[in-house]
Amino acid sequence: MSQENIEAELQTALLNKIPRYFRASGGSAHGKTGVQDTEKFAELLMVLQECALLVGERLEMNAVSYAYMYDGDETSGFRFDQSSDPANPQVVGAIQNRRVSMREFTVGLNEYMEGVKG
Amino acid sequence: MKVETIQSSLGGLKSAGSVFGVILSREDSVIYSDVPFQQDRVNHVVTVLDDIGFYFKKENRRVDQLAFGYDGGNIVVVIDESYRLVVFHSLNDEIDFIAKAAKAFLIDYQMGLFAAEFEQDLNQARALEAVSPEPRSVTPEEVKIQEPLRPGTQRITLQAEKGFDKTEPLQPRTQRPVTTPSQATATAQPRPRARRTI
Repeated sequence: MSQENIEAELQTALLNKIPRYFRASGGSAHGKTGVQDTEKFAELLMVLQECALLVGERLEMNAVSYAYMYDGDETSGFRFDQSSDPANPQVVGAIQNRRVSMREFTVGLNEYMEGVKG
Repeated sequence: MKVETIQSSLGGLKSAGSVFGVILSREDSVIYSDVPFQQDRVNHVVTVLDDIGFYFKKENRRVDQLAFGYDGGNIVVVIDESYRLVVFHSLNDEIDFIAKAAKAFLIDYQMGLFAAEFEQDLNQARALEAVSPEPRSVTPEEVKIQEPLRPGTQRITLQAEKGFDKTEPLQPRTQRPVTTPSQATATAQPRPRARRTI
């Protein structure tokens, strides 16, 4: 994908306020909207995962399946891809510059996982 | 706000859908909790959430809702300034409905606190008014009308009382009383402590 296409993809997503999807596993993240946007997701993934683990650690709720948040007008989050190899679990996530219901956000992630989107 | 009032409001939320626990906190203090966990675990969750809130604030992020899913259940955290409402539920389909109800509760709760504080201020002001002397009316002799500056205009000066050459600095008549939090928020005082880094 050329730099122009990447930039166009990011601009289209931002303009139409549609989710930008990412996939992460083994310490690396991949997306279609450029390095900076993917880095943003990677940082968000780390923060959210840490938050989820910290909250759940003493409640014996350790296996995190998803974590979402509203940050101003932005919806972001991730969920584990249950169809991925347990030895190398994959995570799918998204950032959307609009507050959408978390149910809608989940549906989007599920569709992306199933290959409908992205 | 009384604990019974909180209990009544959150009782409705707790009985809704698949909700099985609620924690209301302010900063790192638990205001109310009704969860199937031991108190030390509740305290831990509240402390961790305070650290998370501190982190986001430091990063200039305006995070007002978090949702976490685990193998043993789901957690929705609604954040409104220093107040946090944590709701534990079983079905992840209910995030939005629970978050909406939790936000409504937090707004009501803070309005209740504001109303109680306002009422307390009002009562205190009335009590002060009852003990203060009646304002003295100015007698006609004290009003001295000088020559007009321009035709049609007059300068009016009030003669000072004997023994008062100059006026004292202005003081507010009533000072805002120190807020005495209700029983529900009595424990919600911030305590300095080391914060963990995320």
